[in-house]
Amino acid sequence: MKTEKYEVVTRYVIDNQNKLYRIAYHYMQDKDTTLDMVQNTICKVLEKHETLRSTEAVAVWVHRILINECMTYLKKSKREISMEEDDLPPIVYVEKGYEATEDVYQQLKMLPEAMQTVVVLYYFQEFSLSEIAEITKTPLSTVKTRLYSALKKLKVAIEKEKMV
Amino acid sequence: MKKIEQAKKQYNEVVIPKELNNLVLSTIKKYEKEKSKTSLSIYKKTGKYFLITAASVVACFTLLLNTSEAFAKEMEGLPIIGNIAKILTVRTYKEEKEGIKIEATIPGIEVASDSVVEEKVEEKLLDVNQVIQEVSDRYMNEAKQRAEEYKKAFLETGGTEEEWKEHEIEIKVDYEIMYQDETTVSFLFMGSENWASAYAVREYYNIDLKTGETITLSSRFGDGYEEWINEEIMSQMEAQMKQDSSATYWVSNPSWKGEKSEFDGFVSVTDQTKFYLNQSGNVVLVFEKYEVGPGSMGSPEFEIVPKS
Repeated sequence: MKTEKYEVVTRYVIDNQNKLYRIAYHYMQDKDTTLDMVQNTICKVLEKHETLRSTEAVAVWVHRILINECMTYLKKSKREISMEEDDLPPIVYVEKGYEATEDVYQQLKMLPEAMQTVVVLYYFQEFSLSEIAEITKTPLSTVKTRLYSALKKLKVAIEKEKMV
Repeated sequence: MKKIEQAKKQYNEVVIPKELNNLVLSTIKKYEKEKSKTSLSIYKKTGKYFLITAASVVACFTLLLNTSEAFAKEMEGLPIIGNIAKILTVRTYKEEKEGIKIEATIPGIEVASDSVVEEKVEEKLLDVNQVIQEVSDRYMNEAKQRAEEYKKAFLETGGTEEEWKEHEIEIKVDYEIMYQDETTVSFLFMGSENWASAYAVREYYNIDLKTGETITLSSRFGDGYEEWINEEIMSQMEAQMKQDSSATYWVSNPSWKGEKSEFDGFVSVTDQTKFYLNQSGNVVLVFEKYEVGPGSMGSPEFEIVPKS
């Protein structure tokens, strides 16, 4: 029996396979593990497609499952880079309009995962802040805080590097 | 914010592996097949040992294109899909036991369910799968045996299990599609062992999908191709040696006007000469290492552009 939900889910994963691969690759940084993550996610969304709340929510839902999958993997394999708040450079005031050519993407990967996720979803995968709140199951205010502190930290990290 | 734009660009630059699409489609297919049989979870992952179960392997073989509407549409839109058949991964296998890692991605020909090929042709195409299966099974078994013998010898001569693990012995079976259109397919089957390159296997398969027959040099160029292709190869060798003083070929063909080589070398192409079809659909002849030149030349290749 092919339900509408099932069709929507399969259509979404087929059409957005590259998008899904990219975000998983962001966390995994390895082709084979990324493919595994994508495959596991597809298995999960197919198995659970009946629990999809509404067909409009498919993007948010698939991303939530994919990100969960990646996070679980990172935790399990203990490959997670420990980056507590204290380890990060202090937040300092940065003059606006300052331009840098440093590798922001590398800096981004150094941030705590929760912050990375917000930045990646917002700027790269182009989700709205409220959608991100749903994907990450966190209150909207927390998402905003994470986005702003991530941006601040990115600037700071680049500034620091530049001075060395 | 410019910096974020740069980061986004980098993020988007990640290379999408060409197997992703097949993986997505076959996972969906597998789910549909499994679901009609059982409600068990499709994936069983236990530690490092990961094997797609036999039932789902069979499911992969019979990838019917018209069961899901979304799926069928997708297949239509793909440029690589011929109207008869295509190459795809029919089996993947990963294993790690006693410090010996095996990773296999085995190709096969998939006949489209809506194609109108004769049964005879379809059978021939499926025979190719059988051959590939046998070749890869044989290779994996032999490689495993070699690795085990190596391990035994290593331990007997005073090596420890820990030291053995550091060797990171790996057996790999994989494939690469060289060329594909509606009626022809050319792919390379590769087997390798990271500790003994001498046993590496590289087999090219060139198949006419309309007839199911293997493409040979004579079916491609007609009888009597040897002479002009030999001339072509020798002129390419000569040109390369002229251009690059480190390039060396050994030639034993009687009409060779260049320097006589001290070793036996190139005489003539035959129907046994290996070749594949490149992106432009041209024949590229491949010689074994040491066959027509010193090891430093690697495994030389010559593209044969058909004479107009």
